[in-house]
Amino acid sequence: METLHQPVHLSDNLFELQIDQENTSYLSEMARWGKFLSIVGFVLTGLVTLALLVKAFSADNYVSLYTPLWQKAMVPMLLIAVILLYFFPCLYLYNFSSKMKFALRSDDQEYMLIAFKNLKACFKFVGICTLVMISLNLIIWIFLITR
Amino acid sequence: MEQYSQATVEKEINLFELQIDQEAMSYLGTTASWGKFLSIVGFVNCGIMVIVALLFGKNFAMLAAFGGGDLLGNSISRLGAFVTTLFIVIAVIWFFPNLFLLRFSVKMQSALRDTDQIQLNASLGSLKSCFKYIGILTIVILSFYTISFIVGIVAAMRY
Repeated sequence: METLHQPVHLSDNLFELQIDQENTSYLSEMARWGKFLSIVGFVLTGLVTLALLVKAFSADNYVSLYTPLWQKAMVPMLLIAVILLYFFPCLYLYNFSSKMKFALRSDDQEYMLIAFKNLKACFKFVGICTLVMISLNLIIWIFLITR
Repeated sequence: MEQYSQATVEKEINLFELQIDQEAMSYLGTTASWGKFLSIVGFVNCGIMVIVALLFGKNFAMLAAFGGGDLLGNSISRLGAFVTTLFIVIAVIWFFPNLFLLRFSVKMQSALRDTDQIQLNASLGSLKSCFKYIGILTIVILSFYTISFIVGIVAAMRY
């Protein structure tokens, strides 16, 4: 058992950064809050899905035979976009939290890597969404000003 | 002396099995750069919110001045003050998670550059603060919703 741990110790010289006691407490607290936030996010996504279903199965007084398709499709499309944009960061955050919790409990390097990968994915997703939002905003402003 | 310090280092390494290896460093680096971007966008949003609040206040004050101090003018100026305060409070609330996020990103980048354990700990502590802040904010908002829901039900049942 002791010899199995030796290769890990060899790599200590290469990588100075460790997950020490202080880090472990931070990471486990992060995992707890992350789990809470992601579950709240899942519940909100579910509520929006419910709204979508209610919209889909309710009689709409403002829609006639002559309503153009884009007007009929606008609200469902927006709701689906909101659901997708909100679901994935929550999923990544949930993965981060559960994997990190497991990694800290059982000292598992693989799971810690998966957790950090999911955290990265969450930040990247939100960042790209923000970029898209900002560019849409800019396009709309330029359109309004030059019109 | 040399042997003594070697022994302590070995002992410490045995205690902590988890390492930040190359792969984790690359993930954390990407997280840090996106975090920096997000926090800067958040700061800009805070600034825009403060500017909007001040503009609102100015416009409401101008509207109120038309009334010349009558009841309508008074209520308009009070509404303007309320809206301005609300926006500034939201901007201040939104400022802090971005501050934590910026601290996380800056410290993480320097920790990965210099392989600095102290900076790494400080960085993860900031990210923890960010998560905790947003979590507590979410709890507060959800309890506000619950309270208003209950108040709404009670008010609806009384009539």
